[in-house]
Amino acid sequence: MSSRFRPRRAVVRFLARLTHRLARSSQVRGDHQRAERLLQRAIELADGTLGDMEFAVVLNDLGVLYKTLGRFDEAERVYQRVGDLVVASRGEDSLEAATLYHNLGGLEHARGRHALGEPPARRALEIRERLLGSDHPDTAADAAALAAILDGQGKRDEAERLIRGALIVFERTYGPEHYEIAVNLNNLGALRQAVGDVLDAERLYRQSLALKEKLLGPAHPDVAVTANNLAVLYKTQQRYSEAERCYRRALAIFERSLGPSHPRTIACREHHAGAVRAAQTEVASDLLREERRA
Amino acid sequence: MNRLMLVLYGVAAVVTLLYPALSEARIAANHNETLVRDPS
Repeated sequence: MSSRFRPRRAVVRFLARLTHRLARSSQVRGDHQRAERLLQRAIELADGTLGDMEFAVVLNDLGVLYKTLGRFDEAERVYQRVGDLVVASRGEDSLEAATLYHNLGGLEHARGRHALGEPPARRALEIRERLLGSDHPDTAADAAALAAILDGQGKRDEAERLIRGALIVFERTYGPEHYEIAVNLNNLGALRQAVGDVLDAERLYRQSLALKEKLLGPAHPDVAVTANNLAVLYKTQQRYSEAERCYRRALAIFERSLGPSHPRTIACREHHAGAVRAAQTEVASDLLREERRA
Repeated sequence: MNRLMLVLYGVAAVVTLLYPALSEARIAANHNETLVRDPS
Protein backbone atom coordinates (compact mmCIF):
# COMPACT_ATOMS: atom_id res chain seq x y z
CA MET A 1 0.00 0.00 0.00
CA SER A 2 2.94 2.32 0.57
CA SER A 3 3.45 2.68 -3.20
CA ARG A 4 -0.09 4.05 -3.67
CA PHE A 5 -0.11 7.53 -5.24
CA ARG A 6 -0.89 10.12 -2.58
CA PRO A 7 -1.46 13.60 -4.07
CA ARG A 8 -0.67 15.50 -0.87
CA ARG A 9 2.62 13.67 -0.42
CA ALA A 10 3.50 14.30 -4.10
CA VAL A 11 2.91 18.04 -3.62
CA VAL A 12 5.15 18.12 -0.52
CA ARG A 13 7.83 16.21 -2.43
CA PHE A 14 7.60 18.67 -5.30
CA LEU A 15 7.83 21.64 -2.90
CA ALA A 16 10.86 20.06 -1.19
CA ARG A 17 12.66 19.72 -4.53
CA LEU A 18 11.70 23.21 -5.63
CA THR A 19 12.83 24.78 -2.33
CA HIS A 20 16.09 22.83 -2.52
CA ARG A 21 16.67 24.07 -6.05
CA LEU A 22 16.06 27.68 -4.99
CA ALA A 23 18.48 27.18 -2.07
CA ARG A 24 21.19 25.92 -4.44
CA SER A 25 20.66 28.92 -6.65
CA SER A 26 21.07 31.27 -3.65
CA GLN A 27 24.18 29.38 -2.56
CA VAL A 28 25.77 29.72 -6.01
CA ARG A 29 25.08 33.48 -5.96
CA GLY A 30 26.75 33.75 -2.54
CA ASP A 31 23.50 34.70 -0.76
CA HIS A 32 24.20 32.45 2.22
CA GLN A 33 21.51 33.72 4.59
CA ARG A 34 18.74 33.04 2.09
CA ALA A 35 20.32 29.69 1.17
CA GLU A 36 20.28 28.59 4.82
CA ARG A 37 16.62 29.56 5.31
CA LEU A 38 15.60 27.72 2.15
CA LEU A 39 17.68 24.64 2.95
CA GLN A 40 16.18 24.32 6.41
CA ARG A 41 12.71 24.59 4.89
CA ALA A 42 13.63 22.03 2.21
CA ILE A 43 14.89 19.62 4.88
CA GLU A 44 11.62 19.94 6.83
CA LEU A 45 9.68 19.18 3.65
CA ALA A 46 12.03 16.42 2.47
CA ASP A 47 12.25 14.52 5.76
CA GLY A 48 10.08 11.44 5.30
CA THR A 49 8.87 12.38 1.81
CA LEU A 50 12.03 12.06 -0.32
CA GLY A 51 14.05 8.85 -0.52
CA ASP A 52 17.16 8.45 1.65
CA MET A 53 19.67 9.42 -1.06
CA GLU A 54 17.73 12.45 -2.22
CA PHE A 55 17.35 13.54 1.41
CA ALA A 56 21.11 13.07 1.84
CA VAL A 57 21.69 15.41 -1.13
CA VAL A 58 19.66 18.17 0.56
CA LEU A 59 21.33 17.61 3.95
CA ASN A 60 24.78 17.61 2.36
CA ASP A 61 24.13 21.05 0.86
CA LEU A 62 23.47 22.34 4.39
CA GLY A 63 26.79 20.80 5.50
CA VAL A 64 28.63 22.55 2.65
CA LEU A 65 26.90 25.83 3.56
CA TYR A 66 27.84 25.53 7.26
CA LYS A 67 31.44 24.86 6.21
CA THR A 68 31.39 27.96 4.00
CA LEU A 69 29.99 30.02 6.89
CA GLY A 70 32.70 28.78 9.27
CA ARG A 71 30.18 26.83 11.42
CA PHE A 72 32.40 23.78 11.39
CA ASP A 73 30.90 21.76 14.26
CA GLU A 74 27.42 22.06 12.76
CA ALA A 75 28.83 21.03 9.36
CA GLU A 76 30.44 17.97 10.94
CA ARG A 77 27.17 16.90 12.58
CA VAL A 78 25.30 17.26 9.29
CA TYR A 79 27.96 15.30 7.38
CA GLN A 80 27.67 12.49 9.94
CA ARG A 81 23.95 12.19 9.16
CA VAL A 82 24.72 12.28 5.42
CA GLY A 83 27.36 9.58 5.94
CA ASP A 84 24.91 7.28 7.70
CA LEU A 85 22.40 7.63 4.86
CA VAL A 86 24.99 7.22 2.10
CA VAL A 87 26.69 4.16 3.61
CA ALA A 88 23.33 2.49 4.32
CA SER A 89 22.05 3.16 0.78
CA ARG A 90 25.15 2.86 -1.40
CA GLY A 91 27.99 1.41 0.67
CA GLU A 92 31.41 2.75 1.71
CA ASP A 93 33.07 2.43 -1.70
CA SER A 94 30.43 4.16 -3.80
CA LEU A 95 30.73 7.40 -5.78
CA GLU A 96 28.39 9.06 -3.28
CA ALA A 97 30.64 7.98 -0.40
CA ALA A 98 33.63 9.37 -2.33
CA THR A 99 31.94 12.77 -2.46
CA LEU A 100 31.28 12.61 1.26
CA TYR A 101 35.00 11.82 1.94
CA HIS A 102 35.88 14.72 -0.38
CA ASN A 103 33.67 17.02 1.71
CA LEU A 104 35.03 15.72 5.03
CA GLY A 105 38.53 16.52 3.75
CA GLY A 106 37.27 19.95 2.75
CA LEU A 107 35.89 20.57 6.22
CA GLU A 108 39.30 19.87 7.80
CA HIS A 109 40.93 22.08 5.14
CA ALA A 110 38.61 24.94 6.13
CA ARG A 111 39.44 24.33 9.79
CA GLY A 112 43.15 24.51 8.97
CA ARG A 113 43.58 20.89 10.15
CA HIS A 114 45.15 19.79 6.88
CA ALA A 115 46.76 16.57 8.14
CA LEU A 116 43.34 15.35 9.31
CA GLY A 117 41.85 16.19 5.92
CA GLU A 118 44.39 14.21 3.92
CA PRO A 119 43.13 10.62 4.60
CA PRO A 120 39.48 11.22 3.58
CA ALA A 121 40.59 13.30 0.57
CA ARG A 122 42.93 10.49 -0.57
CA ARG A 123 40.18 7.94 -0.08
CA ALA A 124 37.80 10.00 -2.24
CA LEU A 125 40.40 10.17 -5.02
CA GLU A 126 41.19 6.46 -4.79
CA ILE A 127 37.49 5.44 -5.08
CA ARG A 128 36.81 7.86 -7.92
CA GLU A 129 39.90 6.84 -9.92
CA ARG A 130 38.86 3.21 -9.56
CA LEU A 131 35.23 3.79 -10.59
CA LEU A 132 35.52 6.61 -13.14
CA GLY A 133 39.16 6.70 -14.27
CA SER A 134 41.66 9.52 -13.89
CA ASP A 135 40.38 11.64 -16.81
CA HIS A 136 36.91 12.20 -15.38
CA PRO A 137 36.16 15.76 -14.15
CA ASP A 138 34.88 14.44 -10.79
CA THR A 139 38.20 12.64 -10.28
CA ALA A 140 39.98 15.89 -11.20
CA ALA A 141 37.87 17.72 -8.60
CA ASP A 142 39.02 15.21 -5.94
CA ALA A 143 42.64 15.64 -7.06
CA ALA A 144 42.34 19.44 -6.88
CA ALA A 145 40.77 19.28 -3.42
CA LEU A 146 43.55 16.98 -2.20
CA ALA A 147 46.12 19.37 -3.72
CA ALA A 148 44.84 22.25 -1.56
CA ILE A 149 45.11 20.04 1.54
CA LEU A 150 48.68 19.00 0.61
CA ASP A 151 49.62 22.64 -0.02
CA GLY A 152 48.44 23.42 3.51
CA GLN A 153 51.00 20.88 4.78
CA GLY A 154 53.82 22.18 2.58
CA LYS A 155 53.73 19.10 0.31
CA ARG A 156 54.01 21.35 -2.71
CA ASP A 157 55.48 19.07 -5.40
CA GLU A 158 52.63 16.57 -5.23
CA ALA A 159 50.10 19.39 -4.83
CA GLU A 160 51.31 21.18 -7.96
CA ARG A 161 51.36 17.98 -10.01
CA LEU A 162 47.77 17.19 -8.97
CA ILE A 163 46.46 20.67 -9.58
CA ARG A 164 48.05 21.02 -13.04
CA GLY A 165 46.63 17.61 -14.03
CA ALA A 166 43.19 18.64 -12.77
CA LEU A 167 43.30 21.91 -14.74
CA ILE A 168 44.03 20.00 -17.96
CA VAL A 169 40.99 17.76 -17.37
CA PHE A 170 38.75 20.73 -16.47
CA GLU A 171 39.77 22.70 -19.56
CA ARG A 172 39.27 19.69 -21.81
CA THR A 173 35.85 18.98 -20.26
CA TYR A 174 34.41 22.44 -19.64
CA GLY A 175 36.42 24.79 -21.87
CA PRO A 176 38.47 27.74 -20.57
CA GLU A 177 35.74 29.53 -18.60
CA HIS A 178 34.46 27.45 -15.71
CA TYR A 179 34.21 27.84 -11.96
CA GLU A 180 36.53 24.84 -11.33
CA ILE A 181 39.21 26.54 -13.43
CA ALA A 182 38.81 29.86 -11.59
CA VAL A 183 39.20 28.18 -8.18
CA ASN A 184 42.21 26.16 -9.24
CA LEU A 185 44.01 29.06 -10.93
CA ASN A 186 43.74 30.78 -7.54
CA ASN A 187 45.11 27.69 -5.75
CA LEU A 188 47.93 27.27 -8.26
CA GLY A 189 48.76 30.95 -7.76
CA ALA A 190 49.02 30.32 -4.01
CA LEU A 191 51.37 27.40 -4.67
CA ARG A 192 53.59 29.47 -6.99
CA GLN A 193 53.64 32.28 -4.43
CA ALA A 194 54.73 29.84 -1.72
CA VAL A 195 57.76 28.79 -3.79
CA GLY A 196 58.67 32.43 -4.49
CA ASP A 197 57.55 32.70 -8.13
CA VAL A 198 55.76 36.02 -7.66
CA LEU A 199 55.38 36.81 -11.38
CA ASP A 200 53.61 33.54 -12.11
CA ALA A 201 51.52 33.90 -8.94
CA GLU A 202 50.34 37.38 -9.94
CA ARG A 203 49.45 36.23 -13.46
CA LEU A 204 47.46 33.27 -12.09
CA TYR A 205 45.64 35.38 -9.47
CA ARG A 206 44.69 37.96 -12.10
CA GLN A 207 43.35 35.24 -14.43
CA SER A 208 41.37 33.70 -11.57
CA LEU A 209 39.99 37.06 -10.46
CA ALA A 210 38.87 38.02 -13.98
CA LEU A 211 37.17 34.66 -14.48
CA LYS A 212 35.43 34.76 -11.09
CA GLU A 213 34.18 38.30 -11.73
CA LYS A 214 32.80 37.17 -15.07
CA LEU A 215 31.19 33.97 -13.77
CA LEU A 216 30.08 35.02 -10.28
CA GLY A 217 29.88 38.81 -10.30
CA PRO A 218 32.18 41.33 -8.58
CA ALA A 219 30.79 40.95 -5.05
CA HIS A 220 30.89 37.15 -4.65
CA PRO A 221 32.85 35.81 -1.62
CA ASP A 222 35.08 33.71 -3.92
CA VAL A 223 36.21 36.94 -5.58
CA ALA A 224 37.27 38.16 -2.13
CA VAL A 225 39.52 35.11 -1.61
CA THR A 226 41.59 35.90 -4.70
CA ALA A 227 41.56 39.67 -3.99
CA ASN A 228 42.97 38.85 -0.54
CA ASN A 229 45.68 36.62 -2.02
CA LEU A 230 46.64 39.25 -4.57
CA ALA A 231 46.87 41.77 -1.74
CA VAL A 232 49.21 39.48 0.25
CA LEU A 233 51.40 39.19 -2.85
CA TYR A 234 51.46 42.97 -3.39
CA LYS A 235 52.31 43.58 0.25
CA THR A 236 55.30 41.21 0.15
CA GLN A 237 56.52 43.26 -2.84
CA GLN A 238 56.02 46.53 -0.89
CA ARG A 239 53.29 47.59 -3.33
CA TYR A 240 51.32 48.92 -0.37
CA SER A 241 48.69 51.07 -2.07
CA GLU A 242 47.69 48.20 -4.39
CA ALA A 243 47.70 45.80 -1.43
CA GLU A 244 45.55 48.13 0.65
CA ARG A 245 43.03 48.56 -2.18
CA CYS A 246 42.69 44.78 -2.72
CA TYR A 247 42.39 44.10 1.04
CA ARG A 248 39.72 46.77 1.37
CA ARG A 249 37.71 45.19 -1.44
CA ALA A 250 38.10 41.66 -0.04
CA LEU A 251 37.19 42.76 3.48
CA ALA A 252 34.01 44.54 2.32
CA ILE A 253 32.84 41.40 0.50
CA PHE A 254 33.72 39.04 3.37
CA GLU A 255 31.96 41.23 5.94
CA ARG A 256 28.82 41.45 3.85
CA SER A 257 28.63 37.80 2.76
CA LEU A 258 30.20 35.84 5.61
CA GLY A 259 29.70 38.20 8.56
CA PRO A 260 32.22 40.01 10.80
CA SER A 261 33.22 36.99 12.93
CA HIS A 262 33.93 34.47 10.16
CA PRO A 263 37.57 33.20 10.25
CA ARG A 264 38.18 34.53 6.72
CA THR A 265 36.79 37.98 7.59
CA ILE A 266 38.95 38.11 10.74
CA ALA A 267 42.08 37.07 8.84
CA CYS A 268 41.41 39.61 6.08
CA ARG A 269 40.74 42.41 8.61
CA GLU A 270 44.09 41.70 10.30
CA HIS A 271 45.84 41.63 6.93
CA HIS A 272 44.23 44.94 5.95
CA ALA A 273 45.28 46.61 9.20
CA GLY A 274 48.83 45.33 8.66
CA ALA A 275 48.91 46.76 5.12
CA VAL A 276 47.66 50.15 6.34
CA ARG A 277 50.37 50.21 9.06
CA ALA A 278 53.06 49.20 6.55
CA ALA A 279 51.93 51.91 4.11
CA GLN A 280 51.96 54.54 6.90
CA THR A 281 55.42 53.43 8.06
CA GLU A 282 56.70 53.68 4.50
CA VAL A 283 55.27 57.20 4.08
CA ALA A 284 56.83 58.26 7.40
CA SER A 285 60.20 56.78 6.37
CA ASP A 286 60.06 58.59 3.01
CA LEU A 287 59.30 61.90 4.75
CA LEU A 288 62.19 61.35 7.18
CA ARG A 289 64.59 60.59 4.33
CA GLU A 290 63.50 63.74 2.47
CA GLU A 291 63.91 65.86 5.63
CA ARG A 292 67.44 64.53 6.12
CA ARG A 293 68.33 65.27 2.52
CA ALA A 294 66.92 68.84 2.74
CA MET B 1 -8.27 11.56 -28.25
CA ASN B 2 -8.52 15.01 -26.68
CA ARG B 3 -8.34 13.46 -23.23
CA LEU B 4 -5.19 11.52 -24.22
CA MET B 5 -3.55 14.71 -25.50
CA LEU B 6 -4.47 16.46 -22.28
CA VAL B 7 -2.87 13.68 -20.21
CA LEU B 8 0.27 13.77 -22.39
CA TYR B 9 0.54 17.54 -22.04
CA GLY B 10 0.07 17.20 -18.29
CA VAL B 11 2.80 14.57 -18.02
CA ALA B 12 5.14 16.68 -20.17
CA ALA B 13 4.48 19.75 -17.99
CA VAL B 14 5.19 17.86 -14.75
CA VAL B 15 8.38 16.28 -16.16
CA THR B 16 9.57 19.68 -17.40
CA LEU B 17 8.86 21.19 -14.01
CA LEU B 18 10.55 18.41 -12.06
CA TYR B 19 13.47 17.64 -14.36
CA PRO B 20 15.81 20.40 -13.13
CA ALA B 21 15.34 19.25 -9.55
CA LEU B 22 15.82 15.60 -10.43
CA SER B 23 18.83 16.26 -12.65
CA GLU B 24 20.69 17.84 -9.74
CA ALA B 25 19.94 15.03 -7.32
CA ARG B 26 23.55 14.18 -6.61
CA ILE B 27 25.68 14.96 -3.62
CA ALA B 28 27.56 18.20 -4.21
CA ALA B 29 31.31 18.34 -3.66
CA ASN B 30 32.73 21.40 -1.93
CA HIS B 31 35.77 23.37 -3.10
CA ASN B 32 38.95 23.80 -1.09
CA GLU B 33 40.05 27.27 -1.98
CA THR B 34 43.36 28.53 -0.62
CA LEU B 35 43.26 31.78 1.35
CA VAL B 36 46.87 32.92 1.69
CA ARG B 37 47.89 34.23 5.10
CA ASP B 38 49.94 37.40 5.37
CA PRO B 39 53.33 36.19 6.67
CA SER B 40 54.10 39.38 8.60
